[in-house]
Amino acid sequence: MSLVLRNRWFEDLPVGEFHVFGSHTFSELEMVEFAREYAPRPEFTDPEAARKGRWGGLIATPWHVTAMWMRMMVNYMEVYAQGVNDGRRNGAGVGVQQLKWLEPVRPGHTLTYTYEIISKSDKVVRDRWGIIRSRNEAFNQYGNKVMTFEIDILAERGDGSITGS
Amino acid sequence: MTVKSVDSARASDSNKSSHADLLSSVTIPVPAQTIIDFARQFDPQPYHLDPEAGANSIFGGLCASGWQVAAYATRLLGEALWQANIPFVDITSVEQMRWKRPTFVDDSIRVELQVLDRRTDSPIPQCDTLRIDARVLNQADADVAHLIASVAVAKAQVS
Repeated sequence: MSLVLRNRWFEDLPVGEFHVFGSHTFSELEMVEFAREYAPRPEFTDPEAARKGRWGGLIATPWHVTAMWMRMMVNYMEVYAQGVNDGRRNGAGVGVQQLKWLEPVRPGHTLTYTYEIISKSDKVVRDRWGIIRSRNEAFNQYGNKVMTFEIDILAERGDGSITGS
Repeated sequence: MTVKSVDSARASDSNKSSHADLLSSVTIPVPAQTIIDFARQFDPQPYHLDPEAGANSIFGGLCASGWQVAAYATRLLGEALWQANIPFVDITSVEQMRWKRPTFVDDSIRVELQVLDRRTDSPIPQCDTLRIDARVLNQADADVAHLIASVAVAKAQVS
């Protein structure tokens, strides 16, 4: 596949484009380490407390599942955009909507993360950036969707709207 | 950037005569090592890893991943709910989240939140859902992020 997210202009990113970013298997250790900093509660940091708790065992905290999407995207971009690492044509995320965590993610579960461009805004940000809206999902090894969200990400326009400053 | 539903949610809040239901979290610092540790694991882009790359980026300095800000915001809002004797269990969905400005090295952040409404169901068993408006603010009281999110809170125990 020669499709590249990062070194194409806004105009060259078509609605409907679909990518499978990659997969990650969550370990108990990484779940506990994440929770110690971001959700420091026994049901997320102590396997024994978690076993007796509402989910019958440790689960990944919600933002851990979502943060791994970011890692999968960065890995994917590095593979398909060799040498383009200045962030120039792929800008910041500006917002997220309709983020839902649908099923628990347990130790040993493998999530596969997908990305699809669903719309492009006509809005021009700072004379330079367009906005790409994508739908992003994570599926576990049973094929069940465990997370979904939409995100708006800036992409540099190549249509002469750049001021050159 | 126009964010219609967030703005309308805030507008309806401002119509209330009292802000007694505004809850505030503690403030936490965000040092460089914390930013870099998170970025190495989840968001290894130059502006989250390297001061010089950050300075040359759209952000203008080394700054925290937006996902790290979201994770801290959720910790802080959960703790603020507990402080108000509301038994926060976990976040279950985010209708909308907007990143307003970067969190740079040694900034500190806190959350101010209001409960917008309550439902008696939740994706998590034995819980209700609170829909909340949460603003993440930095040490200058500037907006860092704004979330409209649903959280699960434990139903009162029937004895």
